[in-house]
Amino acid sequence: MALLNVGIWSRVAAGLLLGCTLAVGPTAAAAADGVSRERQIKAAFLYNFTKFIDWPENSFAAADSPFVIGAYCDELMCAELERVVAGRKVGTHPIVVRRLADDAQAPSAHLVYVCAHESRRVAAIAEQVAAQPVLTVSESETSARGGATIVFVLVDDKVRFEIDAASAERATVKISAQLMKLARSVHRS
Amino acid sequence: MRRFRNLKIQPKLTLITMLVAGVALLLVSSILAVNQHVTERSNLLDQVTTTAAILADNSAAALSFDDQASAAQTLAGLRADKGILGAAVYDRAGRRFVVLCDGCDEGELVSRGATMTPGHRFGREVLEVVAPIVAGGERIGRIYVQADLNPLRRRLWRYGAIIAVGMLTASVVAFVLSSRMLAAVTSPISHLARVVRRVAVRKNYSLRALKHSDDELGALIDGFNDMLGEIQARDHALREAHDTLEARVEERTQSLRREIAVREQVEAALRGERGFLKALIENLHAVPWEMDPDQRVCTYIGPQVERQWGWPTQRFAATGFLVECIHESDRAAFDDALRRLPQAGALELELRIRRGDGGYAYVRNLLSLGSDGRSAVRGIGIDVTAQKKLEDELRQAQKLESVGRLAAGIAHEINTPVQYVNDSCHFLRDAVADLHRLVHHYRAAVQSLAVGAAAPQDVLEELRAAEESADLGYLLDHMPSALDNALDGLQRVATIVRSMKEFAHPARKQQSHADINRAIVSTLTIARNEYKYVADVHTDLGELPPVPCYLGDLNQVILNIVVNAAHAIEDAVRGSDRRGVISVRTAVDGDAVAIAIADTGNGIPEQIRHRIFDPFFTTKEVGRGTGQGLAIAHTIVVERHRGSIEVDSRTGEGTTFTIRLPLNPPTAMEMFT
Repeated sequence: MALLNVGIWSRVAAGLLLGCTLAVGPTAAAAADGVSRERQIKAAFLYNFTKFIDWPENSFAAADSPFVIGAYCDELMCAELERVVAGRKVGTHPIVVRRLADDAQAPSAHLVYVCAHESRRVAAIAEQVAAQPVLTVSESETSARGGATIVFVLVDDKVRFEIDAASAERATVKISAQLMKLARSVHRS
Repeated sequence: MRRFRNLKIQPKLTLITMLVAGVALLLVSSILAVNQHVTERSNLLDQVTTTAAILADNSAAALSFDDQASAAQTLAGLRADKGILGAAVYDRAGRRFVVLCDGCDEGELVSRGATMTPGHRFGREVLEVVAPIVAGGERIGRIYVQADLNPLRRRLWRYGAIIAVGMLTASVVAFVLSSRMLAAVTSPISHLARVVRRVAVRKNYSLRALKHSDDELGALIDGFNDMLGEIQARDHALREAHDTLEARVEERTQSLRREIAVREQVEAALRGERGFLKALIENLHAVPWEMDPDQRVCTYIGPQVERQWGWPTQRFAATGFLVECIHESDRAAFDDALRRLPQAGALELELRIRRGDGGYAYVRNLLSLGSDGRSAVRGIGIDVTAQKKLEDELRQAQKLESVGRLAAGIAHEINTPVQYVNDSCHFLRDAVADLHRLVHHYRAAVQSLAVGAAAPQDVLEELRAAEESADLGYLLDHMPSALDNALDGLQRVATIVRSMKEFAHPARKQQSHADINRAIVSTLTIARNEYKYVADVHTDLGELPPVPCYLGDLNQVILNIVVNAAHAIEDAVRGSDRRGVISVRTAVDGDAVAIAIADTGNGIPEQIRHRIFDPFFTTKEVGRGTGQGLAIAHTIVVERHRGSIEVDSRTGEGTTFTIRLPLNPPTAMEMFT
């Protein structure tokens, strides 16, 4: 039994090593520029969230329907996101990045990311997606938590996040215990 | 191995029992220990692999979100497990992420984990497992866990110690048990062995072994006791037989002694007789001998050989001497005789043997095979040299005798032509005288006519009268025939003389090729007087090639047979005016020439037919035959020419002699001269 496991493991590991030449880790592609480094980390985190959060299957029209990341962000962030998710999937769903401008567009996405400079729209967006399987991620920790499920925060110069479990429950997305464990504070209101 | 074989049965059986039990025990406990160890290793591997998988799962989020503190916390949970020495988490690029290492070399642990391929590895002291960390179907890093193998090894040693102690205890118990239990088997055997030894030493077959049980050993002891009973009985019988035998031997010895005494007497008598026989044989004129036909060496030769031919007997024992002694021309005949002897059984062979003085002796050998189954050839050599000389002289004499006997006839033969030559000559002499007188008359008439002294008429008248008185017509008629007659007679005489010359052909030592037909004609010519009054001769002479022969001898053969034929016819026609026929035919018959001489006499009576070629055998009255003719003919044809002579005779009808002479005779034996 142990031997069989080793065989499978070694094969899986080899496949993974070969397939993932495009390395995107939390500390990968570190640039000199602090801003661009933070952007890269956040884009990677956004993608990584999809691995530890389950969306209800009825949020997809079909098995190969795209998983949509809606970004209220600038060009650069969107480009970074595109780079990270290129060729990747959530389950069977290919990931697409859409740059959103209007609040009403938010429900069309599965994950809505609101950049710092659009923080003021968080409340409106949260309202738009209320009771829908849409996960909202915002950046600001000061200006209105405003209903976003996950909020990026900086702790000791490191990107961390907070999770609002009640919001997640409302949005009917399931956040894994591991992710919960990593969150700085978990709100269960 | 030898020492084991010579062990007593009790220790041997104990040793076997303990060895078998020990080996079985060792095998079973070793298998159990090994199985236990293998199972424990497998369990440890399962446990560590599971731990690694759980850790990988639990550290996926921390790795994803670069939260080392959280990952370290996850790993810290391992501290509870004393078997785990350390662990490390690596990111996607293989860089260390977090390490758990209490009291170990952290650097070495990290580098070991970084270079190891996914899976597990059993080292001398540690078990290492590497598992991938996967999130959302993506491999995002790996975890390395190191477990301690020392507890496992310690347990293995403990098993070994348990087995050793168990084996020792088991051996002691087995030794005590087997010693007690085997005694039940071995003590009857030992008892039996002791009894056997006692029986063997004391030769006391009345001893018996005690039976302890009813198993196979009991049966063995019963069987042994029965055997002893049997031996005892036989021993007794043997002793009796031995006593009887001794008496018999004594008896037989006595009778043998008597027999030997008798035999010695007989042998002494035999020795005397043998000496007498030996003296008799060795004083014979003939030489007895025995030879080995393969080696051509005499194994025995009578001592008289020295007296007779001048060779010491021991010379014949030397290889090659015997063959050297035989005349060169006779060696082939000797070899041939030895070849034919096994079939023939006995042979007669004439050989010329070189004498010590260099001359040759004619020896007639009577050969026979040894009767005792050996290949030895035995013989008696009779010196016939003197006999040969006599035979030769006799042949010569017979020839002279026949010539002498023919002489009268030949004289008569010559006389007849001489008679009419004489008559013719007398007639011619008278005729010439008459013619002479007549010529005288003619000359006188010519004279008187020339001078005219008489009238021609008168002269004519006178001449006519003279012619008439001389009977000129008769003379002229008969003179040529008288001359012819004379010449004819002379021719006849010449023929007879030539025939005689040819008949008396000087005897040659060598054969020469001759015209047999011509010889027959000559012989018939000189013998003519012998048959001409009683028989006619018919010749039918075929065309013959020259035949190698001794012509003088052959002439005599033909003459002897023709004279015999004439005599036979003479006997048959006596008292009547009938004439017989002698017919002579010659022809080539295969590789020989056949001469057949037949007469119409009374034939040869059946009862003497087989004796006709014997010397001195004759049926003729004294003075008419010597009994040598056919004997000599036989010798000449058969021995000198290697031919054959056969006789076919019918009583009252006649006799035919057929002589066959080979055209290519084998080397003929030279006549003694």
